[in-house]
Amino acid sequence: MKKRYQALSFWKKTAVNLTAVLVVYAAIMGLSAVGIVNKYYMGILLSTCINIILVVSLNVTTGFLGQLTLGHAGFMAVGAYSAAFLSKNLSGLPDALVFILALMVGGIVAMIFGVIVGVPTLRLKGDYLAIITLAFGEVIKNVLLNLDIVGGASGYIGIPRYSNFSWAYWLAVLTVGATMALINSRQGRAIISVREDEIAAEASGIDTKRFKILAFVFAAFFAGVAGGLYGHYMGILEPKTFKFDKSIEILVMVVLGGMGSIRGSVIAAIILTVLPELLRSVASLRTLMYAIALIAMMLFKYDPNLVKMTAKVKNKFRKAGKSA
Amino acid sequence: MTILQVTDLGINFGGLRAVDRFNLTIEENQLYGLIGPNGAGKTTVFNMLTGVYEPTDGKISLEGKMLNHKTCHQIAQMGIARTFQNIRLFNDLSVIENVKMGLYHQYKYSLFDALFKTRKFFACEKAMTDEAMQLLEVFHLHTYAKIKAKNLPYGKQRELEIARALATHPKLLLLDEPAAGMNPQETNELMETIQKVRDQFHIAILLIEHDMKLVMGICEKITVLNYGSVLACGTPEEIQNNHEVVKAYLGD
Repeated sequence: MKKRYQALSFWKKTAVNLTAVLVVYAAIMGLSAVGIVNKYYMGILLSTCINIILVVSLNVTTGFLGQLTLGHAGFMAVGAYSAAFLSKNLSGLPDALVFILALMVGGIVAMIFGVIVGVPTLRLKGDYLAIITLAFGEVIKNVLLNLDIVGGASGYIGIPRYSNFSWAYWLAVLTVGATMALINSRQGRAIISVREDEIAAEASGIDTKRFKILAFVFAAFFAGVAGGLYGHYMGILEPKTFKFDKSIEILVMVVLGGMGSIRGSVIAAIILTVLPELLRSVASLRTLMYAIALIAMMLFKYDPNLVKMTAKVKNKFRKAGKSA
Repeated sequence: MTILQVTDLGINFGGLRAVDRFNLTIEENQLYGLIGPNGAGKTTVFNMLTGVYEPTDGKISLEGKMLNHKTCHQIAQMGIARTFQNIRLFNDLSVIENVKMGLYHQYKYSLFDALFKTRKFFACEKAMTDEAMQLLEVFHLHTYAKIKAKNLPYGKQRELEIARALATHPKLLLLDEPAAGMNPQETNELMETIQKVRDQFHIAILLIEHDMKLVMGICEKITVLNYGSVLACGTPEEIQNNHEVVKAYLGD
């Protein structure tokens, strides 16, 4: 009886979440159909979804595994270029199928790179790992810059523009769902135990090396998928997009949203993608305002009054959920 | 039946011989004490038994299986669990999740089961929760199940560490100074708990301890370590009356 209940309560929660996700989707599509949300806004929403995928996946390595990596843009680049390469050279299949295949290939190639980079580097810790992953990102960028088959420095052009908001939205939902499923499993707990205390994890019979690789590869896969989405949205890929700055940008979102908080990652990705666009009105002061806004958010995040308020709101939701 | 057989174990740290020709035999269901002055090499022995350090020479065998060259997690899976001198819990995980970590190899489902929430996933998680709760009840920790491990009082943290170690279904449990930092009242309770654990789970326990009342009170056999080598070995009475041991502890 109790076993059934546990599974039941999970499916009930999932149903509630899925409804919410559907409502948001319907609202955005509706507003877009009547023209309130124009093409420019849809573009921002699409970038937001891509960033959600990047931030949530990076949170698996940085937040849950507790290893600081600075090469997430590298995995995104690998995924973007391999997905684009496939869809440009594959003809005779329906567009949607080609796109799905391209995204899968993008994710899988990024995963393979995850293993190649992860196996030797995950022996290192802290700043050493950060530096080596940073170097990896730069190597990828420079290889792409000199790889003529994908356009080199002048960019990889003519990528079919399969991406649209719907694809990005549902893939972001899928990423969040998969990450939550991972974290709430015994494998996910093993990943967190590495962050908490590696020696104690080993003493509890956990093969910590294996779980480091698992988390790393999981994150790389979704970064690759995000890259594929991005490439098929822009129609052109340039190596300089995947600079060190991009990795830092994603990391900033992870840190702001909270290490090891999936909900926080989603919120931070939304705010920090929309904010720079809103700041376009102040043109020359844009980067300055963005920096100030970041500092303000970091400061206020732990403001006791704000923490109390969010706890109150959370409680209300919980009560409402229980009585429903 | 012999659970653990250690023969002529030794380790060098650079030019320092930290442990030399260390021998130890632990029988089934035995409560064994390892004592010695500070710096004698007790924790080093523990670290060699659990694979943290690779011994320079000697043999370790658990129920006839060799443990040399095995990694920490392999040894843990083979049946040696331990606690640490300075408590090592998964601080930001809840009390029950800490125990569930120990249960990792007891209930197996694949990543596929986890991602697609199969029936097996729910069944295993349920079974894990049930066993974890039972373990917590042994230590009267079940009321704390949902709070973070770091918010437990000190004494409870030590007990949680033992509960997590027991969750790996060990044949031999190593306790590194379980009574450190406890008051006499807590130490008395701990003595009862250790005996209860041994009887209820039918395992052998090897403990390092400085509290002589605890060691002499519950251990059936004791080995005394001094400057890395065995000074004496025997029952608590034999150890208490051993001239060499008294000299090592108190001087001439």
